[in-house]
Amino acid sequence: LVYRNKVSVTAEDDFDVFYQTWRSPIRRSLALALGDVGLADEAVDEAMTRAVARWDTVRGYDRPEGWLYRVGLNWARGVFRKRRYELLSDLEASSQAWDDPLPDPDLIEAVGRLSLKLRTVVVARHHLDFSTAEVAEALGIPEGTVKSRLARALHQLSQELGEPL
Amino acid sequence: VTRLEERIRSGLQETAERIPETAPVRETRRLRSSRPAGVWAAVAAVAAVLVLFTPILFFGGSEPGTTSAGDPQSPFLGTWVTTDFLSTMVIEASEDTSVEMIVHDFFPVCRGASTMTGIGRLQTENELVFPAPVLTCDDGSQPETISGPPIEEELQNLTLTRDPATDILTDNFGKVWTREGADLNREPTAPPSEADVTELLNGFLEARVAGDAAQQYLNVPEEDIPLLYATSSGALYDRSEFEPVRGIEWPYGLTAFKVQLFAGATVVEQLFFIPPQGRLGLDYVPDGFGTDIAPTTEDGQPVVRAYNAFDGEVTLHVAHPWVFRSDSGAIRLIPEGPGVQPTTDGGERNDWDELVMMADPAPVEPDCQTGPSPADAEALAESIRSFPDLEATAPVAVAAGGADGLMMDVVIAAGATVCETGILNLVFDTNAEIKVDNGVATGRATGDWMRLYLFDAPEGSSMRVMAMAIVAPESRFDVAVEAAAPVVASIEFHTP
Repeated sequence: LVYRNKVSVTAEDDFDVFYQTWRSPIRRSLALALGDVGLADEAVDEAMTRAVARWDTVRGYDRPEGWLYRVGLNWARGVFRKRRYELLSDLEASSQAWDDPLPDPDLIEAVGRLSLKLRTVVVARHHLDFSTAEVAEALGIPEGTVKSRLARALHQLSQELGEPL
Repeated sequence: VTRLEERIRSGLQETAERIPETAPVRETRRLRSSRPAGVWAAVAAVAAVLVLFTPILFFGGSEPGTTSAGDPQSPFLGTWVTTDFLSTMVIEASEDTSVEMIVHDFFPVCRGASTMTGIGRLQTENELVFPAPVLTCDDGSQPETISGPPIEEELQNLTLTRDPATDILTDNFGKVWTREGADLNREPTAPPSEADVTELLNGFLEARVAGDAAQQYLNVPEEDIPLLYATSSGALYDRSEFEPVRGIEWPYGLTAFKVQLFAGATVVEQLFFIPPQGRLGLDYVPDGFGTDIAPTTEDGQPVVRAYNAFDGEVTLHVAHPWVFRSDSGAIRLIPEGPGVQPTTDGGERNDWDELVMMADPAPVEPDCQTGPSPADAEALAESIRSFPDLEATAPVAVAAGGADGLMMDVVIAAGATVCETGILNLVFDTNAEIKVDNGVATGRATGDWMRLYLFDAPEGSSMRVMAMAIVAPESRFDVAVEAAAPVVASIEFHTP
């Protein structure tokens, strides 16, 4: 049994550690899931802002970083909707692609062809290294759904990459 | 772990490691300058919390900056940090009566870091004005202004306003600055007591009945509260009550109250929120955080609010259950039914029905290239009907707000390929596969139905065609269209 140390660690210290520990990994995960580094930059900072605003609640979650990932994804999805109002056209200019050659471009392209639903699960499982239960909690979906999405994603990737399951 | 899984894991990890680190760039300039008062209520709440966090995060809780007593500029001197983590500012005394300012990363207009400098003088006791700040990119490149006036023009007369009670600065772009090493214990960390909340609400309601100074009880005093001191007929209030509203606390920890103000037989009810931390004050949220409770009613009827669009060229009148989301520009229909979860989960519900307006929507070609804007409503209707995979009813002539237009219903089958630009964005599925290439996103259609109104804007308007769309799944389409009827009928066009 592991107790979260909520007595000696202040909320301020807690958030400081959380920010330093998770901003970068979640930002990178969002970039992988969204395929857009600029959008991921915006998303992670938006999510962090929301996290600090309600840190007393978020810090009590088993995996606050999972909440952060979901909020970032939700926010980014909202961007596509908001573009209809042309409020966020600035984002396109701030988007940037990877300049360096990718280590496994076929894989990244295949991951990019996954639907966003499948991609977010794959990134959470294989980049953030969440268990299926943790992915389920982070994304707010049943664990069975996570497993089925992972299976569908692996099947699609297997076919596209010519790799056995 | 299979070989495929290992390849996925290593491929993602190695790719992620090649993503360069960047400084936080949370907001775009245009968003920042367009934030409405309602959003600033939330920002103010964040600011209150960040008064506690910011110095620890970035300066290790260092000592407050020194000031010299008797110098009228001294309250401004020192190092300041914005509450969004993005910018730092040092203000130092100059040789004469002016001050020098150095700000890092004031606007995200450079690819990397930026520095802004300026000479300022006190305009009033609590206002410091910098007539001509200069912003330069640290890498020597030119600042890029994507919208609005040139950066030097926008920065003219940059004004810092200091609240002596809190020692917090606010600039004219809405940024909130807290002092390095601010007193960490100044803000209460415990939730407000029941007695404090009762006193707050009683004070607020007594002030409203008295007809004066109720804004002091708000977290954002300039918030536009409907029917603040009188009913819509002008009758003054004679008594008041309040009661807690349960079930919408999660996960923000907000406390909600419904207040009732009586003027004879007329009853005005409003929903207010109290944040769990920071200054004890009331928040009025025009969309009620998406709850199924109307934020303001009069004798049980939701109060209609006027909203301007396109710089005031179009006015709409909207009442609950339609809510106007100023941060996104959307008018959305709150999902019906008691017990509907509020949209306070840190993200946004994706399945709200929407009423959307667009000025001169461009027709989108099948290859997602944007064509020129159609000359009038009829031309736009024809271009929409010619889009492949799309079914549309024949346009019917309509009129509203003194403008003539066409009405048609449009359906694109779920899963059909659509672009996220132009009018097809309205049925763009943000949950399906999305490909972004050179800033153009393509994806799948949601299958939602659209009722389109295409109005020829009056002579003198800045637009030729104003499109209004009610977007909803087939199952809710009739309900949404019916609910939208009063909003559509309320359209007013105003020519500059």
